[in-house]
Amino acid sequence: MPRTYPDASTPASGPVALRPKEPPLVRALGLSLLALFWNGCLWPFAGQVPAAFRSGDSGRGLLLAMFLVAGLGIFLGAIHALLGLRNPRLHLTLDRGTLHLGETLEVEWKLTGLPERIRRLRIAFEGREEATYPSGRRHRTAREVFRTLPVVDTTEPASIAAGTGLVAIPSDTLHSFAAPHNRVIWSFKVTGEIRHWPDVGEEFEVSVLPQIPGGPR
Amino acid sequence: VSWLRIKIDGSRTSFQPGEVVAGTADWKLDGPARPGDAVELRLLWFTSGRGTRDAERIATAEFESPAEEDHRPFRFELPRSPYSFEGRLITLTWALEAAIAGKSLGRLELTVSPTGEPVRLG
Repeated sequence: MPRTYPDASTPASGPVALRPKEPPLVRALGLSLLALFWNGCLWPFAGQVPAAFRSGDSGRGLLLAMFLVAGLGIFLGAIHALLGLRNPRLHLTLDRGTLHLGETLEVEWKLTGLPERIRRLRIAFEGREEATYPSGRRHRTAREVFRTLPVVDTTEPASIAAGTGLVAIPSDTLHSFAAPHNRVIWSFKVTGEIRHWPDVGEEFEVSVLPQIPGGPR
Repeated sequence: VSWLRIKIDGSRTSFQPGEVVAGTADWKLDGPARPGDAVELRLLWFTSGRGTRDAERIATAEFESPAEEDHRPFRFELPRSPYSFEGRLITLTWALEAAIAGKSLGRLELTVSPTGEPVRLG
């Protein structure tokens, strides 16, 4: 039985099943609750928008209209996420639990729940920086991808349903790094295109450790 | 302080992860140190760039009863990570920093990586 990753105590040997960063059910529930709350609070005031414009208070009318449009966007996002719950599920397994810079690892993927609906599957191993900084009263996070290593890009039904690929983690790049406001993240990014339906989009974070002393440069 | 000098054996500033950084700290203070004051030499890393600064002190050497003009040896073992790196958003720098009574006396920047150069992202 494969173990679940990431986990600091994960032993080095044996296959490891990856967990999606944001499971589809959690995403759909979160967006649905946000859509209910946001629109439930704002839509009772929708009638005030034309009234505000008629009375010459166009600033207030414009502000209200912007919040209503944002609510509509969240509602559509929730619908998209709910439809995505019917998508095939992707399972990713690595051949080992501990990954070091300079190593090559084997990735196995398997789709369950009508994989034939997916017309094109892309899996890539990606490194990115994330920096969080204050912006007014809020905090924003900037993201910058610095390395993308393709694992698979296929339209063949058999290869979409299941397969294996190799990823050579370069030795001249950076290991995973996590500080309170600055992070370097390695993850598998998965995109499955479905015609006339929300695509499969998943991310599986993994921890890449520094190079083993004496390893390849 | 009149002056402070951090001298590393072999005059190096680039190190492999896990290596030992050893040398001497020399200083001349403006006057005699107050009783109980110590000169601290800290091994640390800090980030700069777009994000809010993060920093971590890895080790500290405390030089007690410092004379007005003095020099003391130090020795630190570097951890295996993080490497020094330069990205589009984040730069991580290693340093040795000296301080007395909470006041910084000076800093020497180091590079810690398998190649001796900061890892360049992007």
